[in-house]
Amino acid sequence: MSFMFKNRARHKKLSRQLCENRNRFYKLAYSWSGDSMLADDLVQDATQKALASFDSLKDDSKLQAWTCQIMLNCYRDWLRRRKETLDIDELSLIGNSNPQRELSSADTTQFVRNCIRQLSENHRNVITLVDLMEFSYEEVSLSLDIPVGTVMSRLCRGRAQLKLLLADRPPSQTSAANPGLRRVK
Amino acid sequence: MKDSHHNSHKPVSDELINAFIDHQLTNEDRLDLLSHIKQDDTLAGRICEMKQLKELTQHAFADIPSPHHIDEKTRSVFPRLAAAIAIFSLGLLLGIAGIYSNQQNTTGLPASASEQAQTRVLVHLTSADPESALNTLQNLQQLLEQYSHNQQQVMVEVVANGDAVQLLSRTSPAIADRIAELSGQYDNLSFAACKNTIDQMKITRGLKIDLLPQVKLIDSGVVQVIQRQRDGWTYIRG
Repeated sequence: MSFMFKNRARHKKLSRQLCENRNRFYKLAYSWSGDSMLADDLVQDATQKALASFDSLKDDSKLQAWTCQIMLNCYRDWLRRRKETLDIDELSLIGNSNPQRELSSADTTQFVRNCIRQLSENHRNVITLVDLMEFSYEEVSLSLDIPVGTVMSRLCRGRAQLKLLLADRPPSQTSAANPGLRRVK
Repeated sequence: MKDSHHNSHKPVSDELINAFIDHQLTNEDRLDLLSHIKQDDTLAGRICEMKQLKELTQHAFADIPSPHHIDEKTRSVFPRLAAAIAIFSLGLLLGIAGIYSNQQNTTGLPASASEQAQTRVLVHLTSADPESALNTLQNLQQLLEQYSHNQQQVMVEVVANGDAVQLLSRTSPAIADRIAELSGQYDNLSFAACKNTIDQMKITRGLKIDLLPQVKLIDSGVVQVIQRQRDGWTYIRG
């Protein structure tokens, strides 16, 4: 009985922590997908799966890294499903040309987001986990199931790549917000 | 994170600079690196540049579009409705009546004003999750009740495509009952299923979808969604 009570209290505590961090997970999912609805779905899926499998979480302090791992799997599943089905309806929804989006792509923020999404999945995952989730390298290692050394090398190459992409910004889009990021030969 | 690879004879690696700006170095390594800055003019610039890159990434996602939950969307309908009703009332005061979205605009008001006089909501179902669908139907009922209570006009159309068309078939009695109940109660609520999806399911999965009598068949769910949005309908993802 005491065990059941403790278990229920633990689940409640973990659920609360998940809820409290929902916006951070959403931000991460958005940085991967660039789509608010998809990001919301990913967070929802990951949260539901996490809630259903708290028993398999061995260390409660790793809750966020563990949930990010689940969410990444959800995202990979989504990408795979999309490739498998190649639903024309879905494609037309996702790929529709949106004047509002096209206009906003002109500003710095959108440009940086686009550059991040142009990175390879490996690089993007590490950068977003470190910069947006503010994970330690150890937590990133746990989330992505890779050694810390690999986290460091991917982060290094990813940032170098991001720097190059940002430096290729067309002159018309250059703003005072980004005066220092220029390619130096 | 302990790092003892760098010394005064070896250039500081990018990995180390990353670890520095990400606060992953031990105090000892951190102080060691800081002492290098005095001896290396370019090091401060490299650190600064890397930190700027990190901040740029964080800044890019500091303000992102909010997720659109159905509850939030449903709530967001009410301010629109208030505006629409205000415009409609103004029209009445000016002696203009008989504004309906499907009728020709002969009121003299701008088209946008007459369109807003009646709130039109499209609920798009794409997932076959029955629990989520029941929740959506519950939200819809609340929305319809609220409008009816306030004597406000609203038209709601539920469009299903993809796996969601199964929800509008006879496979789920709980959902079928709810749809029958709501359809009987509100004549301003309609359900539509995508024929393309149904044909595709028959070919690829051998599934025969037996739609509920309250559901009409439309050629393409996506085309309907796009067309409705173009016509100014409020989009809600169910």
